[in-house]
Amino acid sequence: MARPLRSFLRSFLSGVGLVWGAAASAAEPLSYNRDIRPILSENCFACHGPDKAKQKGRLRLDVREIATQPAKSGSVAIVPGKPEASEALMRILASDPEEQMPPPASGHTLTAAQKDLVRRWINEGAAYQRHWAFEPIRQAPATGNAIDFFIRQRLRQAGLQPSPAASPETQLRRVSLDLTGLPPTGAEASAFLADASQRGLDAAYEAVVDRLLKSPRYGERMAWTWLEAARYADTDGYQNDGPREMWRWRDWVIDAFNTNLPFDQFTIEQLAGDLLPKPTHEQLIATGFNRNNRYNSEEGIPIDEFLLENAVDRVDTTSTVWMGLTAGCARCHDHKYDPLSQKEYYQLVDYFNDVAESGRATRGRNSEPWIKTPTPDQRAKLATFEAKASQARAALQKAEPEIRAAQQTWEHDPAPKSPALRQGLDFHFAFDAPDERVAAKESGATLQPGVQGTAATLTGQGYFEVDKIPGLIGNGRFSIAFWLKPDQVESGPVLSNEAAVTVRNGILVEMLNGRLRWNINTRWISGVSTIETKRSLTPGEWIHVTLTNDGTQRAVGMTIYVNGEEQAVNVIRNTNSNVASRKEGTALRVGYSKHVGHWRGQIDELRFYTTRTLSSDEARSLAVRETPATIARLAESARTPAQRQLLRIAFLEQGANPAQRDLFGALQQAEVAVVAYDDRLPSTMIMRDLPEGRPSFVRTRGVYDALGERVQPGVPEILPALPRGVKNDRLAFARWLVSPEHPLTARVTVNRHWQLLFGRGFVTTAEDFGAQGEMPSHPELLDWLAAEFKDNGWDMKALMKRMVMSATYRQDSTFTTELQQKDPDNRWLARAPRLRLPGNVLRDQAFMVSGLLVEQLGGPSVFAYQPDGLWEEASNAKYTPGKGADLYRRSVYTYWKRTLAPPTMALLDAGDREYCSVRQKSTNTPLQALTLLNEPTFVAAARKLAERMLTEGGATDSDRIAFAFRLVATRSPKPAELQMLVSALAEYRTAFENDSKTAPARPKKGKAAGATNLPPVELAAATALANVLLNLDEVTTRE
Amino acid sequence: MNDDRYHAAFRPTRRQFLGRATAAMGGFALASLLDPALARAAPGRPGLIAANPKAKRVIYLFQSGGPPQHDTFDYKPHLDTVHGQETPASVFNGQRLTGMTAGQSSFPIARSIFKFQQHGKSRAWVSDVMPHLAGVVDELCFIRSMHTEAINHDPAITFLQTGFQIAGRPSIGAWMSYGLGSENANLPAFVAMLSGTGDQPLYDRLWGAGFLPSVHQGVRFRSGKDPVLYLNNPDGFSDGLRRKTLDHLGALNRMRLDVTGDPEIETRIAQYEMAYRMQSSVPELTDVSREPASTFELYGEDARKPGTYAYNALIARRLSERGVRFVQLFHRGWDTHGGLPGQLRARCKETDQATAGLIKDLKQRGLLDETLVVWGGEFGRTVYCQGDLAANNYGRDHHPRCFTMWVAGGGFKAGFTYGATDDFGYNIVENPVSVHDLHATLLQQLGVNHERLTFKFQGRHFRLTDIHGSVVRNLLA
Repeated sequence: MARPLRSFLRSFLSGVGLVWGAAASAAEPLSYNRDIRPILSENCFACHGPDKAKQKGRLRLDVREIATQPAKSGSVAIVPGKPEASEALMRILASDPEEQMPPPASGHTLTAAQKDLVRRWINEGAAYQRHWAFEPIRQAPATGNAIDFFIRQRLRQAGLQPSPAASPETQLRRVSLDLTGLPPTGAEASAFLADASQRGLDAAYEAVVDRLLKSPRYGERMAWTWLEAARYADTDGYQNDGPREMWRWRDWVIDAFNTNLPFDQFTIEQLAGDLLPKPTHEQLIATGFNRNNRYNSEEGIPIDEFLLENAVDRVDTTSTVWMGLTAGCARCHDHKYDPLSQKEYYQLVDYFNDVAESGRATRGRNSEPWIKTPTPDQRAKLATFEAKASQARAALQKAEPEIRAAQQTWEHDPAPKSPALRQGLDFHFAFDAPDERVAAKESGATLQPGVQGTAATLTGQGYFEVDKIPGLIGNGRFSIAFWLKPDQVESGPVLSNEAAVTVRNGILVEMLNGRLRWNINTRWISGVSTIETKRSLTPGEWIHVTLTNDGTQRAVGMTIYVNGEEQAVNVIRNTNSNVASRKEGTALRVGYSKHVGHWRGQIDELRFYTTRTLSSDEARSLAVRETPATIARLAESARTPAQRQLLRIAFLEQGANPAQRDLFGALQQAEVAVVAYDDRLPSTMIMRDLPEGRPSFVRTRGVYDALGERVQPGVPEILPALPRGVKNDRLAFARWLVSPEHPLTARVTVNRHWQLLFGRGFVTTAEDFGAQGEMPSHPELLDWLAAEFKDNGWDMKALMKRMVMSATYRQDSTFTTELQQKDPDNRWLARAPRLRLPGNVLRDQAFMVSGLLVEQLGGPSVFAYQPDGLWEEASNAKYTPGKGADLYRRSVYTYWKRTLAPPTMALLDAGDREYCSVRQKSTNTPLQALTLLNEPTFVAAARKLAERMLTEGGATDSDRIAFAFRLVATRSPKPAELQMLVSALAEYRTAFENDSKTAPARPKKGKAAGATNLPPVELAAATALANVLLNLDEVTTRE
Repeated sequence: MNDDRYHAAFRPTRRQFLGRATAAMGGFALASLLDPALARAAPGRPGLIAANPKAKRVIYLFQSGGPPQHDTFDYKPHLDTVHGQETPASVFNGQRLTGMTAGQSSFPIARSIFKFQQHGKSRAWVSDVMPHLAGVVDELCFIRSMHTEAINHDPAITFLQTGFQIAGRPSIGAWMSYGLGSENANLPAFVAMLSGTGDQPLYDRLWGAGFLPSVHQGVRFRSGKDPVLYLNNPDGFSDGLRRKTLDHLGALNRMRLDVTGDPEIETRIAQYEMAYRMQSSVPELTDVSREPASTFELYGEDARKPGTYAYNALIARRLSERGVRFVQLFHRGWDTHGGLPGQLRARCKETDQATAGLIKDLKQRGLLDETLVVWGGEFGRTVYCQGDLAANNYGRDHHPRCFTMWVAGGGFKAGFTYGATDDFGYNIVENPVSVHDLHATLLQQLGVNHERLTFKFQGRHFRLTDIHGSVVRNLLA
């Protein structure tokens, strides 16, 4: 049945071929990359492309050698030069649904014009090209300004002329907004115009560009788009969406742009700063880039699933940002359009799969790995706290002769009250005499001779219940110390305050397989940190145990000392991510847990320090078996250092005179102050790999627990190979990205910079440089700029300057009828684009022109104004807006809750911070209009602008209006505009005069407080006018 | 340059306008811009919607947290005989558990404390915790064999809402807005409303647009002064003054249009006008004070209180009446890990009457036929007890393998129950329905082939149903 159809088609073709050929004869020779690949990729590659699993009939149309080979049936998909013999074309032209390609069910069809292109291409010899983006970057020669050279070359082909230069005012406003995200001030505009008339426009313009690039505002502006690409937020995302602290990384980005860190270094430090030899503090902070991913702290998550999701997010983000590759498409199967196999995808995953993270985020703070990252100011302040402690230590040292003498006297009759080492000791159970806090439960719990006096003794039946001890929680500092003589080491609970319910929140110290194991538990078993000693304990021997926790909810923050020596431990669990309250836990039991059972052995001198992390020195002192009184009886030379230390502490606590006690107290206080300040210092999540790494596997269908082949790190075959002989790690990968041979990084980066200035990249799909992405509009220019960028030090400021200095950038943005017809999308740039300002720029601009803006570089994120209840209605988080200056900082500092984004930014098209986004949305909705008209901070800006208008703008309405207009639009109003605004103001005034009660209330406090000396009606009318000005299309647009 | 659907509505006007070049921009052009008939034409994807679709719009009642199927609709008398016994290994069948119960040493079976009865002509089983809903079972199509892939809230709810477990895809309502367009120029095509409290939070992205243009994101209607963010003029700005400022703004923008020729300005003017219309249409919509007493008999007295589920259900009807495509209620607090009986009673007290009232109300207004009402959460709950099993108290953990949802109206079979689970309510034994299948079937009733509702992003044609889903014909009348 198929045969007659084909022969029909063949004759049909030979008949109409001439007609088609004639129709297309004027066209230039076809290019596979430009004309054919997009058609085949869109319609054919899904089944006849790189994805091995989906290849139908073993046919690939993306590889010439395969497409031109005879199939088993004998037919050949593509016969170069012979369209009528090419099976692929026959099938494309077929009308029988059985024959037709793509199959009707696929939803794809080729247009008549596309069919003709395929026919022509086969006729011309079916030449293939490698996908352009994987080809090496080649710099074609250009004369004069290369940007203008290539742009004009293309314009000539399109029969278009460039537009004249924009007005000086427009150029100033445009370049100021583009480079700093803020409009020029009136003074800057005047200075620029004066300079232009003196030295010429070009010289004045260049001076402005240099000034703007030096401004710290440049870094703030550039950081915004990088933050969106890096999916930066101040919370974890996912269900709990708890807070995290990454603002030090954000400030690193701002600083890197401002100091013009070369892009290759910018890349290496962010992707692999931790692997550099002796990385600096800043280089470690830089690696926060790949800790900005979402991270789930939900209870009960499968850890392996989210370890994989984290690694996948890092690969997808890194591939998008540096290579414009949609690598994520190869997670479940070979990429359908680009030459990236599933195995290669997991080879990339392996570079990012070794992070020393637990797999479940910590719910209320940074998750491992992180480091303390004080700012320089904070570091200085910490140093002053430490200096105070040193001074206190020195003062104590200075008093040593008197102390020593006094102690010797005291030692004759020490009568020390037990125990020593009392700082922060909240509970001490000596188990020596009846104690109302200690209850023996059931039989088998008695007091028998112990280390000092008697000890709690358990025979495997009863247990002791002591007080409820507060603060034994992961998120608090505490220490526990006791003497222990286990009779049973294979299993059994030593101490437990676990709740009786299955959640078991509390601590458990137990013997297991001979080892001492310690759990801090908020929810069994999804929220537990557990460590155990590597060495086994011997039954029947007294040992001293000190357990300390540093309050960071990490297994690494827990330490076990045995006989004063810190123990090597195994981390069994490390997911204690829930914040617990100090009040949690039930009465503490010795030798029993409802969940584990009973234990045999002895415990003595049980101490709880519920707010302190004891030092190793202190742990050593506690492990002294003798009481101070006993030590005092030893000859000085016979005392061990630990005994000496303990005795000294006992003396200072109990025997010293008030002056000596004060010295000691001052030292203790100063040390507490150091710790307290240190606990408040900001931290930053960084990249740090597990020493032993984590094996990576292909995951079948992308599913976390469907392990396929094990893979080693590696880069895709289609791209240049890694240099030989280097260690194949994340650092090698980062260096490879910025190696001169890499065809993608420079192109993708240059494209994104162009997009920032022109609203659209050469490749409009900035996130996809693959076969399904758009072809570049100006491939030669893209390559020229990419080559220049990478060959000249990856200098981002130079790149920006080159772009904004071009005539192309500086031209007028007016639409003409001719342009509208010939190039409605302005692809060839015969005019500058007119771009809607992004939400963050709109907000910052309103603050700037009204005088509300508070400029302060860096610092913790601030809680901008937002309507009440937005968080509370959707979550258990509570939003408290900041005060004063915090409300008027630049938007880049606004606190970003990932799942409930700042509403104004979300309405005004800001990128979603859930995932990497490298292309700005630009939409036009009524909700945006409502925001700019009515959102309280925009209204506050209107009122402050009105005040400026009335106080600085001159005496007449028209002077005042012209003043305000210049502030917002960087130009004087035209007569018709001025006239309309003057009459508008008069109307508003009349409206408010007629009903003075309606004049807007003015806040009495805060930065936006009203100036009280202005007549209410005047201010109200001017506010209404300013509200109009701030909403003008021209003002919300970069012309 | 901008593929925003709202823009599409204005494109013809823009072209006409440019044809007139920058000739006198008088009252004529303004009139055409403000003509609601033009603004109304925010179409869906051309050629996508089949002729005469069964349903025109959706009200989705999302019960966030995962309602327990054993205690509501999936009656399992067998549990009475095995109550307190260990769940047999044959039932688990290698199933993964959440980390919350994986550490439990015992998995005792918990029967439901609630009494079940058959109701209506359809004899559908409903427990006594939902007495009102029991009265409308003959309108409902129960799917007892829903299953999902995710076991934790965020991935599971994201999966139900976007067809994918990881954030980044458009929500179902955004897809509808994109595909079906808007029927009302003065209201958004997709409205989301929140109620309830509980440990499980909700996220913007659940009604977000993902990679679709932001105009398709759900507009969150809230209780209080501003039902839509920033709807009200600043204090002291009367409506008359707002009108004046918009007239001046429009006139000045048109002057700029004369200079620049940028058709985008025209769109912008139109958006400000639509904002102005919303300032009156939304308060009218959310003001329920003129609803007759009979309305509150149906929905319950809570429906007078903004912010409650009942009020939101009533607003959902009012939105649907006005042609809003997709209305989604999210009610929190169904995550019954412990203290299930008390929690479930509380949730049903908050929602049962209003849900049933909405069904009756739509029915009596003749709207049920063309409105799909969907009820359900993100997964089911386990047959075994989480935590400690007491005489009158128990909890259930997350369970992805089966759960019950129901759909009413829009051409789904009424008074029908589909699919079945085993005696333990643990595994599906008959007619499984995946999340993708449900999506495909809902789209089908709206006249849309789920494989053709696509958006190209990152080189791929994305669908709500990803690469899966089949229409479940047996659910359809």
